[in-house]
Amino acid sequence: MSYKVDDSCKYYKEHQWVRVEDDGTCLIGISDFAQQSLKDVVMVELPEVGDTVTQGEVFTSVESVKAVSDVFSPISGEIAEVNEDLEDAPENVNEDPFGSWLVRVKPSNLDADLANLMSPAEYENFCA
Amino acid sequence: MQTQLYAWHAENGDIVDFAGFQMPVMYTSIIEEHMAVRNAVGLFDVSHMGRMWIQGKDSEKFLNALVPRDLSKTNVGRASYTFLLNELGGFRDDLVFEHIEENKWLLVWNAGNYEKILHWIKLLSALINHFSKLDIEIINISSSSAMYALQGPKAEAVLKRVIPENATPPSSWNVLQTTIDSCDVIVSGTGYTGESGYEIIVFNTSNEENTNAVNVWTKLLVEGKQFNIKPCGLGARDSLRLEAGYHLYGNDISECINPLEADLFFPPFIHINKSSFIGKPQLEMLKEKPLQKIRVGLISMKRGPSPRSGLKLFQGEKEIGVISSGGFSPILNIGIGMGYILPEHNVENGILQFQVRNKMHDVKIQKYPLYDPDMYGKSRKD
Repeated sequence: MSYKVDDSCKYYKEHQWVRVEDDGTCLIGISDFAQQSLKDVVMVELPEVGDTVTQGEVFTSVESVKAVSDVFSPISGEIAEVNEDLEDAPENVNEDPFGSWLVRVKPSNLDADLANLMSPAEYENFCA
Repeated sequence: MQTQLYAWHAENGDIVDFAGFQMPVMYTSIIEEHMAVRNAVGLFDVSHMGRMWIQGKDSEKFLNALVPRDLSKTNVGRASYTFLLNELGGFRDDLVFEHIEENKWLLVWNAGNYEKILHWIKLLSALINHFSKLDIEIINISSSSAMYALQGPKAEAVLKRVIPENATPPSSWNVLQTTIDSCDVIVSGTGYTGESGYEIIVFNTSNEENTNAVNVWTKLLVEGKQFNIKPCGLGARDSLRLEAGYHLYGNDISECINPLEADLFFPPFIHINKSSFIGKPQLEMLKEKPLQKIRVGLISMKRGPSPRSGLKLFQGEKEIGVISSGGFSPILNIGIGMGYILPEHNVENGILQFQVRNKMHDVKIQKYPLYDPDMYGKSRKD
């Protein structure tokens, strides 16, 4: 099987991606590898705006018919926005994993957090 | 362990461990496979289940002493579903008895209870035989046969194309000895999806020489093609039985749960007035006592995390039970499940909650099947 890796992201070992936006906030989603392993995603559990997330800790879950999968946060910070489109269209995660961000986070320790993550090339290797 | 189709499953599907067997959880998509069974036809390898012959003059008498159902009413050519109970009235297993010929029965039991049931039945027969000569023979054919489930509204059309022209597909709970592609098979009008369909046992086949198993599987897929047949894995098997409200041994029934609690205490599964059977005194005692818990069907009130096995159930602040099975329903497009709750909370359409992380999610108590029986399942209106 082959997996897409988005060059604009960095990756956590539990198959989440983070993308730093121009305004300094970060989008978090699950990778193509993760969505292919889950198949048919039927539910994205959306956390609350204002919740804090911590690098390497579970902050929500994604459910497919096959399994429930914990979603780990690749960085620490505070949730500024959740992608409400996913409430009605969780299958977007399958169709476009790198476009279907789950949450937008205001990072609290970005530089140190990013240093712990994999580059696209490293992640591609990791999935192989 | 592997079934005789393992190579096919590994090539075409995703393999998981189930009850010690390496089984396909799905081939392409659980939702697609699930919908194929509800709308057309699906084919499952269920060879991991245990199968044994019990034959001889005393076979019916012996079996009837084991089970709470009156097997003397199961005529030759018929199949029956019932239980084996333990010394406390709990479930040892649930299983199907097929009356193949005079003095010849076929038992099909759960893969998860494979060793337990095989040894228990052998032990009982040896014990009885020790005191008075018993004319029965127990032959385990689990690895010298294969078993498939052909399920869905188009199952009959597919079966008609693979059995000889002069043979008639067996109706519900009937059994037919016939051939498929010159292989000896027993076809029963049974299954565990809520749909009409068949279970097919293929003989003269083994892991070493699996030609017959492969041929029958392939023949069914080829002849089913025009009806959009799909091979289906254990994922769809679980979501289908859950929608139908069928309990699964190990999740929803177990040694520690009795038929009153599981809401399965009724004829013909249990004839409490039968002269004797293993578990009868315990059931008679239990039915006079207040119930500790009762099994109910659950359906989520809105899209969100699905009910999952092991999660506690609440009504407001009060913990009132636990979810025994759960998942996503492709037909209802929402989470469903079943669980055990305190009987005083068993009110139709009653609203309960389960917790995922820091959020409570509402579920409604719902009668089985959880789908609309006019639209889906074996009693659907065409």
